Order: sequence, then C-alpha cells, then structure tokens
Amino acid sequence: MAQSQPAIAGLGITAQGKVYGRTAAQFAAEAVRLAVTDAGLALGDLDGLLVSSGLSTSVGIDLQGALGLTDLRLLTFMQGYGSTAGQMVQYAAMAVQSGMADTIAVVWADDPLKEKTRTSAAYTAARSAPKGWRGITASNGIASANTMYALAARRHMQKYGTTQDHFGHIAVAQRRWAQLNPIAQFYGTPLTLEEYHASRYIAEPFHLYDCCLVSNGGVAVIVTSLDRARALRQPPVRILGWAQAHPGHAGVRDDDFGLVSGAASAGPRALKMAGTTLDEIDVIEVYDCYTFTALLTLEDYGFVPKGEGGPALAEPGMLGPGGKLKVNTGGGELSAFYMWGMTPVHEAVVQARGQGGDRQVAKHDRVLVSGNGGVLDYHSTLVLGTDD
Amino acid sequence: MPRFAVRRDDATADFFDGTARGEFLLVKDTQTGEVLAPQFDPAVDPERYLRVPAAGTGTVVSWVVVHQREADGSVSRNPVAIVELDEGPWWWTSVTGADPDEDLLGRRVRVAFETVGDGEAIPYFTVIERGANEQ
Repeated sequence: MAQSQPAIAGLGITAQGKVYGRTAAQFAAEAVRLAVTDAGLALGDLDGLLVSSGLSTSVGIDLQGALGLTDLRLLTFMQGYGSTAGQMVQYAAMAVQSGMADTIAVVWADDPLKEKTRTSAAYTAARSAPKGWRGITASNGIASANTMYALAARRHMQKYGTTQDHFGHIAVAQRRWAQLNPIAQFYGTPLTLEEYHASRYIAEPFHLYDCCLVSNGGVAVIVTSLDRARALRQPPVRILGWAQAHPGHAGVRDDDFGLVSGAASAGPRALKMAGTTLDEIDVIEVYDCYTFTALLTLEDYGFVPKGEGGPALAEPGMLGPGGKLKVNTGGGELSAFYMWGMTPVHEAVVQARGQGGDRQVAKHDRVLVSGNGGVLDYHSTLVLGTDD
Repeated sequence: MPRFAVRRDDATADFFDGTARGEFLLVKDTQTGEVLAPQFDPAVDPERYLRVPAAGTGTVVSWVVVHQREADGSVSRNPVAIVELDEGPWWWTSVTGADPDEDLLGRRVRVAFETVGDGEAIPYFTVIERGANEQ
C-alpha cells in the first residue's frame, strides 16, 4: 500500500498577548477546537493528539479528557523548546505516512504573563533555580536566555563584523510586516531604526527590540493525509520535507557557538526530502527569538553568505514588505506574538494557503520554516507547499 | 560578584567541596589527557576520570553587559562573559569589576570565590590587569 502524503488541513489560534484569566490548558483546548472547526472537522474525527507548552505546567496529555477525545491512536507530550512545534508536525506527518493515525491535532500553548507582573519577569522568575550548576550561573547574573543569546550574538559580531545596526534593520523590517497583520501585538505600532537604537538595553548588545515578545495564547494545526485534506474546507498545505539538527555544543576551545546553528545541517536535508532547492523557496518563516537568531538562520540556510548576513540583510529592498526575501511575513516573534515554534508554523500555513490578506506573498508555492530551541541547541526545519 | 546564595545538589557536591577550599575543580580524562568541564560526572568511570584543580585563569571569548534593575529602581550594568579556561573548557560567569564600556574580548581573567549568606562558595571571575604577573 502506498504511503499517505501528509498535509496540514486545519489551523487554530486563540487571542494572543496580554490575555489574562485563562490557563495554558484552556488556550490549548480552544486552539484545537478552532483548528478542527477551521478544517471542517469535528473533535470526534481526531485520532491523534500531540501536546506541548512553554513554561506552563498546566498543559499535558490530560488535554485528551478536556476535549472529550476517545480512542486515540497517538497521544504524547513533547518538549524540544523552540524546535518543538516543527518537530510535532514532523512526527504527526510520519504517523500519517505510516498509517499509525489519520487525523492528528498538534497543539502548543503557554501562559507566562500574569496580570500585574512585569513582562520581563515572566521567564526569569519561572526559571530561577538557586541550586546546582544553574544556580551558580544565575547567581553570576546570567539568569535569562536574553543574556545567553547576547553572548552568542557577540561572537558573531566579533568574528564577522556584524553590528547592532544590522540587527536593527531586521527588527524594523519585521515591524513593517506586523503593520499588515491585524493579530500582531505590535499592529498599529511602527518602529524606526532610530527608535530601535533608542530602546533600552536588555543585555548589551541587545536592545529591547532585539528580543521577542512574551505572549499568552495557543496555536494548533491539524495534520492528516493529503487525500483527506483535499476533501476538507481549507486549501491543503503539504508537508513536503523535514529535518532536525541538535548540534550539541561542546563548550570547549574552538566551539562554534554563536557562529552556526542547526539550520546549516537540517536545511539541505529538508530541501532534499522535499525535492526542492533554496531558489524555489517563496516564503521564509524563521524562528526569531532574537533579531540575531533570524540573521544566523538565514545565513545557515544559505539565503545570504555565511558571515555576511548583517550587511546583506540590511541592504535596502532585501527584507520587509516588497523585499527580495519574504521573511517572517506576519511580524514574527519580534513583532507579532511569541508562541515559540508555532509562530513561524502559523504564518507559514497562512501564507501557503494564500490567506495572508494585506501581507499575502503573491507566489507562495514553497515555504521554509525553522524552529530553534535552547541557546542554538535544538533545531527543526519544515518545507511546506501548496497542493499542485 | 555572586548575587544570591546557591545550594548544592548531588551533581555539584564535589565541585562545591572544591570551591570551599578555594579550588575550581575540572575533570581530567587520564586515558586521553583531556581536561573536561566540571559538569562531567567522574562517577561514570572513577578509574579513568579524576577531579583536578584548574589553574583558575582563562581568556574571555565572548562578553555582554547585563542591565539589571535593582531594588531601588536604578539600573546597574554588569559585564558577564564566556571564559575559556586555560585547560580548554568554557565557563559562563560574571566578570566582576570590569569596565562595562571596555571591549573584554581576549582579556585575561582569574577566578575568585564568594560565599553568599548560608550558601556555598560561588566562583566568579575578575580581570587580570594588563602587565600584572598572572601567578
């Protein structure tokens, strides 16, 4: 029997950002319901559920019960940090290919923001661990991912001459895209390069606007066979290729930390599986927890030469609406919302379907999606495509 | 300077025994001669892996300046770095007392220890002044 080809048939997203009074588990359940409805399915049609969350402890496989799902053939919680969403789509695709399950909901949700608590405290507070190795690092003032990524970025700046101005161009370009995305948290709030430079420092060289948003909410997609997707409500989005890369930094002399990411390895493998090449990619949705992460990923995929991402991406006409490279077309994690790996997956599905409204990219046959977790430790790549 | 007390767990007990003596312990692979980070667990093969004191000196391979909002509302600028220890392993640390406006890349640093509250002695690093005798 021929393998089923996997496709994304449903997409659901809750309200994003400072949405209080609801738990991550509630966001997750809502996102699944929205995705099922979007696909033209009923909850009872699901036979698989893959669940993940950020730092919330409220999301788990008991989501099955909350949704009233019975007789599932696939159910688990996964965690690969920022690479998780892409990974979940991969495992769901393989489950469909193998016949293990037919219609799988893939969901991610989080609720780091609490009312009357500073946004900046959302992640550090939950992670403070005054014990053991992490306690030593935290007590030394290295208590957040902001600092760790800034240390990575500085390596790139030192080796290749990348500048804060280069980072700023990425922040500004993505904010321009966000002005075309009504669900972006920074919709209606443009950003100039001057404002970027004037924004407060988090960890020099990172300004506030080098860092992603913090958001409450949930996102879900429905993965099923292409044949089934064709009979449903939405244009099918094919899952054509995928790969993961988890470099495992040695943390010793000659380490390439900050200079290369898993995208360098996973990108070519995912493109090969999809039977496509870089020059056929129409839309690029990369994980952008920081401006630097987007820059590094675009270099590692090969859209710009290694080490030249800073000046190349800052060239007029390169990024932003109307630019040569259609990157993070919804505003990304920097300017739309921070659903970890679901931010790029969500926008990739929107664009591949042709449902991007004012920000829709005209040619959207092939979409490259990255996920990145840890401090450049974990990576997933997806190649999505239209049904042709 | 370490900011708050840190307690030991099973994985860090030996390391903190070392810091209490003023030693920064690494792990030596006696078969290859390679020196490993302190997080490596010698218990996987105690015949082969030994805890050994580091020289306590290293070189900054990356650094940033963390902006920290203090209790009084002011913002402090604290240089932190990845230090390549002379034995090879990297260590993420505060560089206490360094000028936040100075390019710290390549600067030589030395370990120090501070006991905060009733916690363990916590390692941090300080810049070795140029021209100073490192020993």
